Amino acid sequence: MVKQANDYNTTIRPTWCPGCGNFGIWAAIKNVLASKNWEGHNYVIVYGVGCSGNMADFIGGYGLHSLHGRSLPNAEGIKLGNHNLPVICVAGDGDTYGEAGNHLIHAARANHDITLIVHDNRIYGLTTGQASPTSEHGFKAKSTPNGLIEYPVNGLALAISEGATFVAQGFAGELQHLTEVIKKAVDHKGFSIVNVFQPCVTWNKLDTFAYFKEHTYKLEEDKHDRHSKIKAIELTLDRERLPLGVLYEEERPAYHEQEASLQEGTLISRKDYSDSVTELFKDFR
Amino acid sequence: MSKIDFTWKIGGEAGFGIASAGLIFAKTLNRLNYYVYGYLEYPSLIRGGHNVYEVHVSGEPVYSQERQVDLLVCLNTETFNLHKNELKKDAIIIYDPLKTQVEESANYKLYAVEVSKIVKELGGLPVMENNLFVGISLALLQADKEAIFAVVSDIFTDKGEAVISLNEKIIEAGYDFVTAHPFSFSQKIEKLGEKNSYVMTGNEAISLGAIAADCRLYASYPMTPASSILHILAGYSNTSKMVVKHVGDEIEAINLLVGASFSGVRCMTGTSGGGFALMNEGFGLAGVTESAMVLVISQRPGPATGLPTWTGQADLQFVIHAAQDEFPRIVLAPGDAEEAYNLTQEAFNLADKYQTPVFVLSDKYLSEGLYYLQKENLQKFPINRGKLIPNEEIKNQTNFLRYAVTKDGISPRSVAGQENGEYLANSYEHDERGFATEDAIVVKNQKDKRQQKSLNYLDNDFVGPSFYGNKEAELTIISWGSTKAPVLEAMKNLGDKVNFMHFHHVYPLNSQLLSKILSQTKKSLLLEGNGTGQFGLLLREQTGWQSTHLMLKYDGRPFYPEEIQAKIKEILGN
Ligand SMILES: Cc1ncc(C[n+]2csc(CCOP(=O)(O)OP(=O)(O)O)c2C)c(N)n1
Ligand code: SF4
Ligand SMILES: [Mg+2]
Repeated sequence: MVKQANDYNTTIRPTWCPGCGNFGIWAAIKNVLASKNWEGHNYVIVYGVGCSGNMADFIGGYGLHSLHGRSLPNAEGIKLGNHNLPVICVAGDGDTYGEAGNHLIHAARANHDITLIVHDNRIYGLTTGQASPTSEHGFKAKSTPNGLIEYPVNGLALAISEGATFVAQGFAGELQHLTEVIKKAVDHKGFSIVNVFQPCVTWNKLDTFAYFKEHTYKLEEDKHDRHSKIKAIELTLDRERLPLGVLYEEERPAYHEQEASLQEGTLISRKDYSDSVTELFKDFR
Repeated sequence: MSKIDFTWKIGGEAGFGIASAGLIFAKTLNRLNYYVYGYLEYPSLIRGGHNVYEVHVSGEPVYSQERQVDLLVCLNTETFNLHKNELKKDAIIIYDPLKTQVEESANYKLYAVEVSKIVKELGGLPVMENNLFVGISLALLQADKEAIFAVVSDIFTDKGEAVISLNEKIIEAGYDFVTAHPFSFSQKIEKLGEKNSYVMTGNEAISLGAIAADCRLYASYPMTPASSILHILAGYSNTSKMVVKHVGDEIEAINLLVGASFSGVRCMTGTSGGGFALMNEGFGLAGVTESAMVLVISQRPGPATGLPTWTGQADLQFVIHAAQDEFPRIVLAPGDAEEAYNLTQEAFNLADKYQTPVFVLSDKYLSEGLYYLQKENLQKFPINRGKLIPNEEIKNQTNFLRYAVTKDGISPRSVAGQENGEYLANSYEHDERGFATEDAIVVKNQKDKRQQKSLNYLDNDFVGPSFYGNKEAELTIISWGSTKAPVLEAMKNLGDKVNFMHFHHVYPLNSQLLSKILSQTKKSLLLEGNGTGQFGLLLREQTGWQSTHLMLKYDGRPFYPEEIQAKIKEILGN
C-alpha cells in the first residue's frame, strides 16, 4: 500500500499555536517519509527540546525526544549502532546554534550520515520568546529589552566550513519546495543540514511569513554552483536576500563507511567477538 | 615456599622510560612466577618532572606498594635525594656515577655502573639506559636472563628486530657487568612453579572486561586517569571489532551512548570526575529513557582540574547523586584488577537487565596500578541482555509498550529498526508508549516503575562485602574500591586481631543485610580516600551504623600498608 503523509500521524494532535511555521515542516517531513513508503521501523527521528521538538509526539515510528541541544550526538549513536537506519534530527535554532554548537562542528567534520533540520524561527519559542542565536542585531525581546547586542550566527556557513557535505535552506511557507529539499537531504549520504525559516506567529513579529516571502528566493539549479564552498558561503552572507534550495553539496564517504569495525555489517547485527579476549590476554604475561 | 619479598624502585626524569622499565621488570618476575604489584607516580607533565615506578615482588601474593625499598635505581640525583630515606636496612642503590651524585652512608650500599657510557658504546640512545638498569637489577637478583629477553622481545615486537636485539645487547651488558663486579644481595630469584597469572593495570582489566562483555561501542574524551582505556580499546579494535570513538566532548560521549543503547548495542564511556560533571544531564537522559550503558569513572582528587595524575575516592557521593531528581543507578567499585575484569562484565549484564546506567568506579590507583591476576579467578560472564524482546515475540504485537508498567519495574525493550517495536524514548516524563505526559497518575506510575528496578536489584543482584581474616577479630577494617590492596597488604602483619570487610557493590546498598552484618562488628576502622568519609556517611544513612574509627586520606597519595598498620596499633594500643 502506498503511504500517505497522514499515515505518520499519532493519536496526538499538534499543540503548536495556530498558524505556526512548525506545521509546514511537520507536513514536509511526513511527505518525505511517505515518498519513501517507509514503515515506522524504517527510520528514526531524534528531536531536540523546543516547540520544534514537540513534534516528537506528532510523528509515529521510532523516535527519541532528546535533551535541549543534544539530538545530534544521540543520532550519531543510533547511526553507529545501526547504520542502515536513516536518522533525522529535528531541532530548534536555539537548540542547534546555541546549545549544540560543538556537536554541530563535530557532526559536520565527521560526516555522520544524519540529516539535521533546523527550525529557524529566530526566537526561543518554548521558553516564551527570548532572542535566539539567529535573531537580528538590535532585536528587542524579553531578555533583550534594549536590543540584542550580538549579531546572528551564520549556521550554514559554519556547517560548510566545518565539513558538512550537504547544506540547504527551506521555508515553512513553501511546502512543496521544502519537501523536495528535505528529501534530497535525507537521500544524501553524509552529514546534511537544512535550515528552515519557520515563522513563530506568537513571539516573533519581525520574522513573519510575509517577511520571509519577501526576502527569500529560490536558487536555480543551473545557475548556482553547488560544489563551491566559497560561492555557497557567499550566498549565506546576505541577510536581506535569503537563498532557498541546495547551497552546497559534496561527495565524501560518511563516517560509518570509513570505520573499520563497521565493514562487515551494522554493529547491532554483527557477530559476537567477545571470545577474542582470550587471545588478548597473551599480551599480559 | 619462597621467602622472597622486596621492593624495587626506579626513578628519573619523565621521558626516560621509567614506566616502561617498571613494566619490563614486573613482567619478567611474573614470568618467573612471582607475585608483583607495580605502582607509578608522575606529575601531570610530559617532559621533566620526577617519575617513579616501584615493583613490590614476592613469592607470596602481594597486593600493594610498600613505603620502604630494597633496591633503588637512580637515573638522576633527584631520585637519590628524594628517596634515600625510604630504604630498608641493607638496601642497594644502583646508579650511574657519571650522572648521579650520591652520598655514602652506613644505611645502604652503593652499586655504581657507568650506564650512560656502556649504552653509548653499544650504540644505544640515552632513553635505553633504563633497560640497562633493569638488566643490572635482574642480574643482581640472579634472575634468568632468558625471561627478560622474552619480555623485551614481546614488548618491542612492533618496533622490529633491530630494536629488540639492541635492547638485548644492552641487557646482556648488564649481566656481564654484574658477573665482573659481583655483589651479594639477600634476595635471589629462582624460577618458581607455574602459577598461571597475568599482570595488567586496572584500566587494562576494565578494557578486557568490556571486550569480554561484547561491548561494541566505546565513546570517550581523554581525561587522566581514564584515558588509557581509550587507547587500549582503540589498539585492540581490529581484533574486538569495537567501534572506539574519541568524541568532541563528554556531552557528546554520554549522548552517543543513549543513541547506541536505543540501537541496542552494548556501550561504554570512560572519564574522570570533571568529564562526568559535563555528562550529568545526559546521564539523567539515560536514566529516564532507561538506556543501558556502562560508565567508567576513574577518580582523581580535586574539584575542577585538581591533581590529574594522583588518586582519591572523593567522587562516590557525586556519582550517587548525579543529575537532577531520582532514578536508579548501580555503582560497582572493583578492589583490584581481577575484580575490575569481572565486575566490568557484570556491569554490562546489570545495565541490560535493569535498563539503567551502571558505574565502574575506579581511581588513579586502580586504573594505573599494575596487578597480578590469577587465571582461575577470571570469570567469563554469560552475556545476559535482559528483556530485549526477540523478533518472534514482538512479531504478533500490535501495541508494543516500551515503558509498560511491570511488577519488577523492568519493561520489554525493543531496538531501533525492529518491526512492531516502535516507541518514543523521551526526556520528558512519558506514558508507556513514550509520549510526553503530565498526567499525575501516569507520572507516578512511571517513576515508581523505575524506582522498582532499584529494589529489584537489591533483592536479586546486590552482593554484600567480601570478608577477609579472622571472624572473631577485635577490629574490622571497612573499605571500598581500590583501597582493598593496601589493606590486604597491611593485614599480612596484623595477625588475628583484625579482619576486613571490602565493598565492591557500593550503591545502592541493601540496608537490612548490612545492618545485620555491621551490628556484629566490635571496633571498626573505616578507611577511605576522601575527606568526609563518604562511604561511611552512606552506610550511616542506610543503616544508622557508624564506625568507631576513621582513617581518611585526601592528599592524592594512596594508602600505604605501613600507615594502616600504625593506625591499627594506635587503636588497639600495642
Ligand atoms: C539544558 C536546558 N536549558 C534550557 C532549557 C529550557 N529551554 C527549553 S526550549 C529552549 C529554547 C527553545 O528555543 P529553540 O531551540 O529555538 O526552539 P523553539 O522553541 O524555538 O522551536 C530552552 C532555553 C532546557 N530545556 N534545557
Ligand atoms: S510559540 Fe511560536 S514556535 Fe512555538 S508553537 Fe507558537 S508559534 Fe510556533
Ligand atoms: Mg527557535
